[in-house]
Amino acid sequence: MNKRGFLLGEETVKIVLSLIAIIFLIFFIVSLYNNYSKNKGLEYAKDSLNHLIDEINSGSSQVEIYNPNEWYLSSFPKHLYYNLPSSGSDLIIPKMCSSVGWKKCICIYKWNKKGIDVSKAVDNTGICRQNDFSVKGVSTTSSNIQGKVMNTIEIKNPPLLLSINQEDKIIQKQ
Amino acid sequence: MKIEKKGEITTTQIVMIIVLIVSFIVILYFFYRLNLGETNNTEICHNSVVLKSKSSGIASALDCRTDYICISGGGKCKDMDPTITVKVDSNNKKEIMKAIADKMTKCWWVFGEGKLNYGDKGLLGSNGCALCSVVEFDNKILDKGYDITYADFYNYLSKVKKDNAQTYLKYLYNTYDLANLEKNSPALKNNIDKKIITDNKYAIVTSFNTGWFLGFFGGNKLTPPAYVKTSQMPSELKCSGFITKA
Repeated sequence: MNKRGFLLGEETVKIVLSLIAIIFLIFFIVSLYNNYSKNKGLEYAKDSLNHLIDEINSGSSQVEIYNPNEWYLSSFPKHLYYNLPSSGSDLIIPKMCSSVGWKKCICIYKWNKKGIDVSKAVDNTGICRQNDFSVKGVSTTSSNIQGKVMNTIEIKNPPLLLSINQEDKIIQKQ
Repeated sequence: MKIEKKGEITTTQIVMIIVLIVSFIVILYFFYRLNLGETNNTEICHNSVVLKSKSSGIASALDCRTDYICISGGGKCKDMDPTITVKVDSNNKKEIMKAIADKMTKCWWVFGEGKLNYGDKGLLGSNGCALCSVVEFDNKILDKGYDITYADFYNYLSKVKKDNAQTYLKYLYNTYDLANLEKNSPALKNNIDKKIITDNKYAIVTSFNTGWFLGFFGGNKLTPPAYVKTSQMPSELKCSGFITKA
């Protein structure tokens, strides 16, 4: 009786199962790391936002933001695109704000620019606080649709120096 | 005939309540004097630095916050909601320099004095900055128009003792030789004639550079605290990121 293939089959199954286990392990470690990075980013975002609001409330005329790097600062509600005509239907506000009854808010969030739904990006990986001030700035996207997003400043090359106009309630890059 | 003395108990109670309230006020006063918030944040940060340096870097995270310091001669800092106010005599230049020097030494101690490698250990290495403090001066100090340069300040650090064992310069930069420090620090050399007290905000910041492959190659560098204008940080320090919380 020819039993050549018998052991080979068994070994193959073991190898395949080991590979599946290793792939699963790698996936698990990467997920853990991503979760850790996201939480770290959110912690920085929360503290930076709290610091910004504290400086606004104490009457400061300028503030510096140091992290999280390559996240975004926006005020809501805002128009999604730069060169669409103003109309109520174009205004967006994250559920993080609207669900708790905030008519206006300021948020720091991570946005990968793929797709254009900024409010969903805030709800997924962002932090908001209620505030009347507006962020004045236009940030570019890689999207082909409009290319520019209003009321948004990217936190890049820290420190991000912001001026606070207490009279007009405007925050903008210095 | 037994006479009821209801009022006697009430008097005792009133006295006890007054004593309790006064004791509470005294304890609260000392509590605020101790400024435990500052001590707690300092200790928490230092402990997290120690833990991070001992672990593989994945197991723990730093928990360090930036202090917003108003160095005050009796007034208020105009563009800051300070977490710490350091009161100085606005007529005493040395006291002002000491206030800055003390915050730099605190920063160096909290982040391990160059002995604890707290940077993220990754395959490709990492670098970053820890923003210990943002410093601003009040109008009473600014009105004096002090002309203290970096040269004057570092001269002060080289001559004044931090403790019985060493000067501030020795503790921070491990040298008694100011000329040597200037030679090895382009940032200091570029700013030597610039003032250290202006209406700008200043940062006390330390940095790390961890070699690649978990720090085994490329060396690990921990830089003592620098005192720079916040607006100059990108050009002077080239921090890829900040690891401290606002």
